[in-house]
Amino acid sequence: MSDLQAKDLHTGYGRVEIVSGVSISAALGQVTCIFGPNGSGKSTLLKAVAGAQPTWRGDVVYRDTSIRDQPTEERILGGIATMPQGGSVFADLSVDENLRIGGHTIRDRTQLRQRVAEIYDRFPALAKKRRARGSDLSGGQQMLVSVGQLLMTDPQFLLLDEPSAGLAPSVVKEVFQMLRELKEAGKGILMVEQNVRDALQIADQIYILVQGKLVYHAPRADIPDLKTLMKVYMQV
Amino acid sequence: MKRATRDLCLFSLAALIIMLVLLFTLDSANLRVVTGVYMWIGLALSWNIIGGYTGYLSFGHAAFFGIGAYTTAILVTVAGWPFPLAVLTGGVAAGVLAALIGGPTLRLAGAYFAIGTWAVALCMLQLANILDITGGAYGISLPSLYSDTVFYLLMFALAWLVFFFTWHYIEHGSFGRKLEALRENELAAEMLGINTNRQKLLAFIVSAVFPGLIGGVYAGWIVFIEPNAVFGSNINDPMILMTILGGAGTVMGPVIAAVVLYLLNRILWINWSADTAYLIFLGFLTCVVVLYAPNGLVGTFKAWLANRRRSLPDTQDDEEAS
Amino acid sequence: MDLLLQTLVNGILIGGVYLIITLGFNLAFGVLGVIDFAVGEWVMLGGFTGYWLNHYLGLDPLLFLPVTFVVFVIVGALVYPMLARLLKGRQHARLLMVFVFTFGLSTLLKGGALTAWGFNQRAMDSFFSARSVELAGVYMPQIRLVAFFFGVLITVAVAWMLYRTRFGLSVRAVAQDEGKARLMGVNTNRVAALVYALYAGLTGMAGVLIGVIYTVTPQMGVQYTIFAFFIAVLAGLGYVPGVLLAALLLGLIQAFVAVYIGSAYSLLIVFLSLYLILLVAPRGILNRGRA
Repeated sequence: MSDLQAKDLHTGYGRVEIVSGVSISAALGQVTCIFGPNGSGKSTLLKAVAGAQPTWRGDVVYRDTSIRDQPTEERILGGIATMPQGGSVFADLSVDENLRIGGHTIRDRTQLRQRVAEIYDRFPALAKKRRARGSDLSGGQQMLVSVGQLLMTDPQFLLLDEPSAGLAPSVVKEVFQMLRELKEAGKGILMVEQNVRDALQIADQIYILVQGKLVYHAPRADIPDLKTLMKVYMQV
Repeated sequence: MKRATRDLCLFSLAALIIMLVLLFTLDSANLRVVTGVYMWIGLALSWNIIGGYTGYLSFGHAAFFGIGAYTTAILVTVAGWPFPLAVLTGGVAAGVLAALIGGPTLRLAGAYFAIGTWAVALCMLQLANILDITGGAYGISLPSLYSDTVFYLLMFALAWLVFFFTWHYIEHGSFGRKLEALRENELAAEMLGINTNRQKLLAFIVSAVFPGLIGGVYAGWIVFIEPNAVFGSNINDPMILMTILGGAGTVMGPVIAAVVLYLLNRILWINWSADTAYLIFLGFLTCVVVLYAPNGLVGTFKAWLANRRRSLPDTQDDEEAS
Repeated sequence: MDLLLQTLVNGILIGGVYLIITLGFNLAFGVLGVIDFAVGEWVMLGGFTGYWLNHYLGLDPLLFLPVTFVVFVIVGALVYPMLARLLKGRQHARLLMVFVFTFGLSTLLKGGALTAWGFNQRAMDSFFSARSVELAGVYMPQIRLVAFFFGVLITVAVAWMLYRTRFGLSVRAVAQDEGKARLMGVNTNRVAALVYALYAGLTGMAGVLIGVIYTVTPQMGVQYTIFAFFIAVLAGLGYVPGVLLAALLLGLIQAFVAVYIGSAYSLLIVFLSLYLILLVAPRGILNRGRA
């Protein structure tokens, strides 16, 4: 039951290796969380899976085929969409344009328009703001746009880099509720989080990364409660 | 004696011997070529102080050369000052100009600084074209004051002076360490207690004073100056390119590049009277070096040496990140 | 009053040509972050392309605008991989190295042109060259009118591309945040290559127009490099709409200085204002560029 996997993945910047031989797997209909302190390499790992960062060694496998040499574009077409840290809203583009760039890989104009309309149906709050510039939106609205961008291509897997970062607590709750719904709709979610407490509520599987290495893994059956997890966290 | 001081003495002695041998063996035409070599060594090394060690690529250093040349020429012809005093004043004028524009211009980062300094040099060029005192586009003719030999010696002395300064105060001095620190990371250097603004400005002024002096001597040597000849790209560009080709932020890089490139220039000129072909070489070499050896020839050689030394058998202090 | 109006028109007309150069220049800066020192040499070489085609084929140089565009798109596409290589480099001063690279390139091109064609000025005539239109006492050389309208046409085309096409949207996205754009599946490398090629093509065409209006000489490049810098800095580097204002402003400054102060001062004032704008408003007069 692992549809998206990183196998013994090594990557980094310049000559510095940030992720050293990490293997993780994520499945459809599940939320897989990667926790870890700052600089542990979790964002870099996510980027490598997304194709925004070259994989030095090891492999990225999706539906039993290696995608390590695929550019981001092909991974999106294959059904893997990514939201970077801080969301993916372009400040100088309108909401409409932001959604369209989210659907950049859709070449057919009619289909693109249709997808944008679907996103507006899903998030009526955005429909009213379609001409507003990204920078004029509130934090919550920006998050909606980011999720909208993510869903434009109707992906199977969503890769999220700290979706709750910098958001007001009430918005965080909405975001996680949204993620829960997406999970229940059968999407696979692989996310990096600092907000362990909220993420734990929806997690089906947990990894902890420290200094580029995997130090802890809890599969679906034995997800610990927050207290136990914190204890583990402190030890590593 | 410290090793750096010993090396400096040895090198200076060697340079002095070469200079004297050339002086007594070369005919006057070739002596003038070598005078030009000294001039370019001095200019490239001066540019290296701000462009190489400090990391601020000045694209307007001809402004300082030109103001030195014009100050000297005007003081000699109009005010009748003795030549040495006029040259010194030319150096001061260049320093003052650098001090005036340095403060605001050095706040610009990267290519913006390059554009800003370039604009200054172009302003000076236009001013020299417009003003009466500079003779406009007709330029200024100076009396022939000394023999070629005197200018040969003067240029050598100036080139050596810049070399000495670079070696003693920058390559092996605390001033240079501060400059290199601020080049690598200005914020971090500030944290270390280095007054980066002050150090940058100092470096800029020093790197301007030398070209000012050289420009003054040049005016007396060539006896005729006009705006394009002293403020134009034929002075401005080679300084930058020589230093980058040879290795910005090294002592020997600019020296070697200046010797080789200026001789190349003269060979092209003497044999084919093609000094424009020189630009092709300069430009092409710059592109190749930037692409394949961005630290310049000497810089790349040094890195290669260091690499080789590191990969010698004793791997116990190998600091490869695990 | 007539003189004022005439000066105004002169300024606006030449501003239209500057527009062609700097639209591309600023676009390329926005997407690549690269300040191309060789911009003036593309103008110069474009001018010579028009000149030699006109010289050997005898047709009106304006007819060669499309050919020149294609030639320089190809040239740009050939130069881009080298810039890309530098941009992917590991040293910290990457952008500065690209700047130095384009400086070397400009030296190479200028030296090559000087060696091949010497210092002489060369003129080429178009059908519109010796004609003019008079309107309400204002005298407009037809060639300048044609060049101006061509500039406007190019501007409209570029604006349409930027704001109405899928490619244009990806260009704007890359200019704003390359990392995000890549995660959206935009092939940022291809976008950058196309933008650089487009910029080279536009600049080459501007060279033909400038060559017809004035003359061509291998030394003309530097002037247009500084004009491009001036307009781009005034507009705010990377901020494309600001170019409209800045290009006209440069044309007007030149025209007015030439008439009311003396053409000798024209360049001095341009250079001086470039310097002052850099110091005072590095993000451009509209404060929308990248500092």
